[in-house]
Amino acid sequence: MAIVEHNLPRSAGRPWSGVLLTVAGRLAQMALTLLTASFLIFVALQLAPGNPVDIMLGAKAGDPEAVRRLNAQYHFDQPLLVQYGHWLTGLLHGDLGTSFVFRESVSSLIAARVPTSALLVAYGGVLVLVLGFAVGLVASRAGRTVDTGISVLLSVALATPTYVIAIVLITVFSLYLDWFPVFGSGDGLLGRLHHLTLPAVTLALSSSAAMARVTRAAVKDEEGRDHVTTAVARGLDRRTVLGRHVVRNALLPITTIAGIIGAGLIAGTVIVENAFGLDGVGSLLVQAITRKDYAVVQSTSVLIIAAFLLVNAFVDVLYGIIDPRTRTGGTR
Amino acid sequence: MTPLLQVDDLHLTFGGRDRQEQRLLHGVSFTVAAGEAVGIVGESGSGKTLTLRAITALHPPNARIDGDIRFDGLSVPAMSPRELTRLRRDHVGMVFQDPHAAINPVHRIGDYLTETYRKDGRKQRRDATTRALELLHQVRIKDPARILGCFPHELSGGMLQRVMIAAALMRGPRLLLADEPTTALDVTTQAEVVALIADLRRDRGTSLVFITHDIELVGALCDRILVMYRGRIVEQLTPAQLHGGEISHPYTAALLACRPDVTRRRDRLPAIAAGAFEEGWAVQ
Repeated sequence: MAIVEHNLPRSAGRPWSGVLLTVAGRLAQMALTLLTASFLIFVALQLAPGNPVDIMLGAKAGDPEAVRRLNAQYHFDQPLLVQYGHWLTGLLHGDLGTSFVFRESVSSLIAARVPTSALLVAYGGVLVLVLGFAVGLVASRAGRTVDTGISVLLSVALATPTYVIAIVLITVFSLYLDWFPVFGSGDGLLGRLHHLTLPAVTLALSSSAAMARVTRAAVKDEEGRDHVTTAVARGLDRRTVLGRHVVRNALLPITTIAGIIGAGLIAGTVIVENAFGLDGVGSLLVQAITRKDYAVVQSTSVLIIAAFLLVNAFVDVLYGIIDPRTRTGGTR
Repeated sequence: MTPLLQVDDLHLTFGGRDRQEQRLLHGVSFTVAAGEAVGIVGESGSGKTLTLRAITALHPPNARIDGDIRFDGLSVPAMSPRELTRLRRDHVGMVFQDPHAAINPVHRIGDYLTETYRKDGRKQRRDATTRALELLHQVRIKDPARILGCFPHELSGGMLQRVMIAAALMRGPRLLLADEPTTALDVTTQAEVVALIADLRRDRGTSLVFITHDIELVGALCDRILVMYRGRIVEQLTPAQLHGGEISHPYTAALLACRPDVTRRRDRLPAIAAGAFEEGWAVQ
C-alpha cells in the first residue's frame, strides 16, 4: 500500500530514539501504577475485618501460643510497611509467598490457573470483535426495520446482568440441548474450547452489544464526512469507499471501546469463572478473599491489574497505527 | 457541436409523498463548451453547490432530480452506478472547499493521489506515482517526493488545496468542478490557487465550472458568469459585460455592491436581505 518510503518529516534525525524513549516512559509509568495499586491492595486487605490467623486455627482460635507462632511465621507481627517490603522483595525474586489455605506456593497456584483465564478472555475477546463488529456493520448498512430490530436486541443484551445470562445459557444449551458441558475446564485445546464456549459467550454478550453499538454509530458518523464524499466523487467503487475510508476511519472509536471492553472482560472472569465452576484466576481470587488468604489475594489482584495495563498499552500502540495524527514524538 | 456539459431544466426536490415538498432548484439550464470556464456566483443557499454536485449525481440521496444533465451527450441521471463511477473517476475532477476536511487524514498524500489506480496493474501504479510527482511539481509544490510520504495534517491548507487540485487532474479529466476552492484559504494563498487553476486548465484545455460568492474573482477567471439566486439562474454575463456595468438583474448589482472596495471609504458594507429579490425582475 505505501507507495513511497521517503524520509518523513517526523522521523528526521535519529528515528528510533523517540520511539525508545516513549516505550521506556510507558514502561516506567506502568511499573509505578502497579506499585501504587499493589500497596493500596495491601493496605485495604489489612483494613478489612476478620483475621487470617483465626481462620487458619479454626477451633483452636483462642490459643495464644499458636496465634503468636503463626503471626511470626507470616510476619503479621511486624509493621505494615515492613510486611509490604517483604512481599515486594519476594516478588522481585519471583517468590510470591505461600498460600496458607492451599499450603502451596502462590506462584505455582496462579500459574496453574492462568491458562484457563487467559483462554477465556481471549475467546471472549474474539467473540466481541467478530460478533460485535459484524452486527454493528450490518446494522449500519441495513434498512430501518432491520436496524431497529438489531437495536432492540442489543439493548436487551446490554441490560441483562451476567449471572442471568449464565443461568439462561446453562439451562438452554446444557440442560435442554446438552450441547455444552456445565462444569469444569476440559482437556486439550479443543476440549478446553468446548468447555469454555458457554462461559465465553456469557462473558462476551453484553460487551458485544456495546461493541456493535459503537461500530454502528462510528460507521454512520464516518459515512457523513466530507472526505467520504470526496472518495465517491473521485470515482472509487463502493467497496473501496467503505473499506478504505468509512470503516478504516471508524476503527478509531472502535479501538477506544475495545480497550474498555478488554478491561471489562478481564474483570468479568471473576463472575463467569465462579458461575461455571472454572478453575481460573478469577475464581481463585474469590476463594482467596472469602478465606482471607492474603498472599493469594495480593498477588492475584496485582496480576489482574497488570493484565489491565497491558491491554491499555496495546490499545495505545494500536491508536498510533490507526491514526497518524496521534503518533507521539510527532510533528515538531 | 454538442457542448461538453449540458444542464437542461434541472429541478431538485426534497421530500414529497407524505412530507412537505421543498424545491431547491427551479429549472437550472446552462452549457459548458469544451475548454470553456464558467463561473457560478450566488449567496449561500442559492443552489450553486447542489447544481455542481448534481452534475456527477452527488446530490443527497433523498433528493429527487428532474430535467436532464448531459456529459458529452450522455445523460447522467440515466447512468448505471458503474458508468457513474467511471464518469467521476476518468472524466470529471472535483476540488472541494476545505482540503483538511475533504482529504482522509489517515492515508499518506502519495496514497491519496494514486488511490484510483490501486486496482490497476503494477506498471500502472508505478506510472501513477511518477505522474503524481509531476503534478505536484506542476501545482508548484517544492520537494514533491517528500510530500508524497506526508500525512495531510502535516501540510498547510494552501499546500493541501494544491494537492487536491493535483489529485483532481491525475486522470486527465475533461471537466474540472471547483466548489469554492479558495474560501477556506487566506487571501494571498487564494490568489495563488486561483492563478494555478487558471494556468493548469488553460494548458490542458480542461473545461471548468467554478463556484464562488466572489463575483469579481469569477470575472477574472471565467469566460462566462452565471448568477444564481434562490435556485434559479437569474443572469448570464461575460466578464466584459460585468466590468462594463451592463448588468440587468438587481441581485447582480447588489452582489457587486457588497464587495469591499479599497478606493472608497464606507462605514458598513451593504447586506442583501433574505428574499429581497423574490419578485423576480422588479427593481427594489
